[in-house]
Amino acid sequence: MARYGMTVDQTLCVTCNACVIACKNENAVPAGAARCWTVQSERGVFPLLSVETRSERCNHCDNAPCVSACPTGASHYEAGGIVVVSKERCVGCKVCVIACPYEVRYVHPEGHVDKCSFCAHRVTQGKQPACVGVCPTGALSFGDLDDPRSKVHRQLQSRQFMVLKPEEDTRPKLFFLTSRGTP
Amino acid sequence: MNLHLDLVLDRRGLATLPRLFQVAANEPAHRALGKRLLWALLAVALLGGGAALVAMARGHHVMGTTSEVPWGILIATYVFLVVSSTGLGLVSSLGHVFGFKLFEPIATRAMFLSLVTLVVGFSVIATELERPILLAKLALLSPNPASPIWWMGTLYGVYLVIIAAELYFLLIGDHRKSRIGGLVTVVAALSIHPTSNLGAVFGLSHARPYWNGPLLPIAFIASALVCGAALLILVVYFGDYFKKDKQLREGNAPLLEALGKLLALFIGITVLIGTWRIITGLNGGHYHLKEVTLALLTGPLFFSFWFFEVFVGTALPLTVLLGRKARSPRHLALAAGLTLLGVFVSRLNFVYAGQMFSLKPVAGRLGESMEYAPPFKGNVAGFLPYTPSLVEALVVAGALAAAVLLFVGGSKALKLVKENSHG
Repeated sequence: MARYGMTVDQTLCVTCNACVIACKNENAVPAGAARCWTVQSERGVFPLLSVETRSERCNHCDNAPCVSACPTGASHYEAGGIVVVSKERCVGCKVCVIACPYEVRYVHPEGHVDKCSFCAHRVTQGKQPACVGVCPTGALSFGDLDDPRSKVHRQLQSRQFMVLKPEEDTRPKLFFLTSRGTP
Repeated sequence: MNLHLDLVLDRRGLATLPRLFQVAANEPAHRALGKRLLWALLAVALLGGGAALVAMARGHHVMGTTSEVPWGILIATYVFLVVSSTGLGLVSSLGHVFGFKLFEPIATRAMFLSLVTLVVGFSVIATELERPILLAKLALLSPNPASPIWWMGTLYGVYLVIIAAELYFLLIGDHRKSRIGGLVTVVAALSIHPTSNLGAVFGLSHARPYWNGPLLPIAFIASALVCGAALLILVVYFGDYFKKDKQLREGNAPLLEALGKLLALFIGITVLIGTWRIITGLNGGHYHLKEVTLALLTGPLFFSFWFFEVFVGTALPLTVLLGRKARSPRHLALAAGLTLLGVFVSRLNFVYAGQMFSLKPVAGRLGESMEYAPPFKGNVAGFLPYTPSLVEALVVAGALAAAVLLFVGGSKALKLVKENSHG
């Protein structure tokens, strides 16, 4: 069984927001909401400044608090460890929004909660998630984390990376590659 | 069965209901005032009912809640009502479970108010939920035992059935079933669990340090006791006030006094818990914990915390309850009312405070600390705004009015007040 994950190469991401638009188109994300977004933040004091860039989305945690919190099983693990919200089962209690430490969910105008699904509908057809396919600099990669031949596996073997809020013990599957070359 | 039901809810009982609202020409002033108040409550309840229909039809579009602050005043009101329900069950169990004779006269009324607050609480949460019926269905068909909400909802559902049965047996006077049957003991034991699990809904939210921890499931029970004692003081006080029955008044004086002492004790326990929560909060240790605590003490929640929670809801009632006027029914009722107001505002503060800071990390590199509390979304103060919408406010006002009406009307129809006069 595959264990899908994604890497975001921070040295390549230029926050062009192509991933955001591709995601909106692919998943018909309503106005004012987003399943993925970019973060750009300046660090340091002039003249020693640097800019950090990231493309963010659901972390598809192996130990997802949203899945534990959901009373109806609407938030659940799909094949490959992808965390999805089944809108047919979502009753709109929003406890998953409360439980998620990354604030990656939004309340859809139709009343259910929605978030990134790693484009599970495309993945089952052997395609890449929409954001990965459209990224002009190749900053995003998607694949089986446990498969030694996959790009994401090799990247995590050879590059320095971080995950968001490791202290939450959620075991995220969205990795941020922070430097070039081998550590 | 029919015979029993007739005993509980006979036609004469129901026929007295319209009289509840009729102001006769020779009506004493206080009764006329009470009836006008009932009319006002009816208007508010109907308005709230209308708002609830709007909320159910249009969903979260008419709420002040957002994707960042998804829980608002309706959740706070739900917590207020269902925790009160538990508190009423617990305090009334002093009489019919633990055998303190003093509390026996209010057992039936307490169980009935417990039922009313629970049903109204459920109605409020049904308004908040996008698909409440689906929740009831899926809670049975595809339960998630890892979810505190599932436990809380299921246990409150069981609790509802049990207090309804318990009330029924109390009403038909079947003490063999209601007492020896052990149902009452089950109620006392069970009533702790739903509320404890409601505390766990917040307490198990690891992402929200202000809520997270083992203390909340316990704190909620202490808070339930405060609400239970305060509500029962009001029930006894207003029940007598509109009776003008001197014998009844004097008969109930020791009961009121005892409830007042209990209320002071329960408030004391919540003060202890609250104080340690603040000290732990100021100690920090997890992102936002200190900031949220400071938001209450010196920040945007300053006024509602210090004025409503501390001064109105705690200091004033304790001053009355521990002072020389502690035996005056009027002062006891005042203390109880102020306490409930304070508790209601504390529910609002509690629900909002857990969500007031964004969880989105903005910067962070390997080996550097992450930052979680930036100014964001154009809000320079650094906290996420939430203001209840008009629809939400009307639903809340309507629900509280409906609870009072249901209790007053129901007591009349079920002749609970008459039952009380024996005690």
